[in-house]
Amino acid sequence: MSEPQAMPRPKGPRSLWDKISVAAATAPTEFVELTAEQAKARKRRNLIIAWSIIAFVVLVFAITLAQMAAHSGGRAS
Amino acid sequence: MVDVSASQTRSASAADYIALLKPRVMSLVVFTALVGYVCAPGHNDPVLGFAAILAIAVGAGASGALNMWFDADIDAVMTRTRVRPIPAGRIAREEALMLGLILSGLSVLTMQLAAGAFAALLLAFTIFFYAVVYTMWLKRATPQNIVIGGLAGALPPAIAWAAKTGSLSLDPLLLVAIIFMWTPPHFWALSLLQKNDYAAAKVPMLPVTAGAKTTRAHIFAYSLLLTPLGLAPLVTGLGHWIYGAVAVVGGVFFNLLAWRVLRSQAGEGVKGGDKPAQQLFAFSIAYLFLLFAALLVEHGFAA
Repeated sequence: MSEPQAMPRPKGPRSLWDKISVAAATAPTEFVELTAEQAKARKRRNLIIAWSIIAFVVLVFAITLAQMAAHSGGRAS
Repeated sequence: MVDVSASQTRSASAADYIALLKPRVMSLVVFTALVGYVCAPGHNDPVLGFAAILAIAVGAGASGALNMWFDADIDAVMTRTRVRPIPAGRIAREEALMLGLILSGLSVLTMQLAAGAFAALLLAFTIFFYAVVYTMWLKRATPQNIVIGGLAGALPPAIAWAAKTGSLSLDPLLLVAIIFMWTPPHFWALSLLQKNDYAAAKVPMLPVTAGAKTTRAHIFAYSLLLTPLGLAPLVTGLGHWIYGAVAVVGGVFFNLLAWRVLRSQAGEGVKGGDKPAQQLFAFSIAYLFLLFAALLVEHGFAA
């Protein structure tokens, strides 16, 4: 008896399910163990990034208010 | 691609990321930009002014990060730069590249929001000029690298002026010209002291390609050109008597030190011979600072 043949793969773009299956099959299963110092450094970096994003949002908000004030002042005068 | 395992295991501190932005260069950029903003005609809006100068500072920092990304091979060879975060192994090159690109984009975006398209375009051009024209091309190609590349460091007061007024005039261009003409004697004095480092890194700085004697002559020639340029704001009315006094006294002293460099054996490996170049390098920083501080005092405290 001959071996059962695998279904031929349909041509065309792969489905989302295919892509997820491939990603899951190739996902890393081993991770680097961080030392306490490295974990601390990573946390510090993350905090800096978080505060930088917050500062940028505040800055854009302040710029928007200042531009609105400048333009309304221009029309009033 | 970022080496994930490497980036997960390093322990770079906040200071390393700040070092990527070249804070000393950034401080000079912030100061000259502040003076450009204050001297420009019109209302000083504290929020928009702060945002514009912050954008210039971050843009300068981004240029510094891109410079360190591209020049990591040179930095690893030179004594002065081998302690920088990339050659020291504390930050991956790709991380510096990404930081530089992201901060470049954010700085130009911020400038666009705060001051409009003209200032944002000028800032984008300055970052491009430093990161691409100077770092990637001129620095390794010609001994005139710092002369032409100096334009990037000279533009911040003009960007700040454009941020406030939306245009440029003769006065901001004079400020640019002063910094542009100041850069060669300043950097060549430094390069005389680090001639061997530049030679080892194969960077064609003037002392390496043309020798110390020619460099000393160039330093003196540029100093002679710088002094009258430093007086030009008096003619246009940008500078007044405080500025005039600083420009005259500082200019005379600058030329005196440049003359001593010309007559010295700086860059020739003679014991004690480098002292005049060290003195000129140190004074050149003070000279530029005092010139711009005088403008800040005259315009910042004007009625």
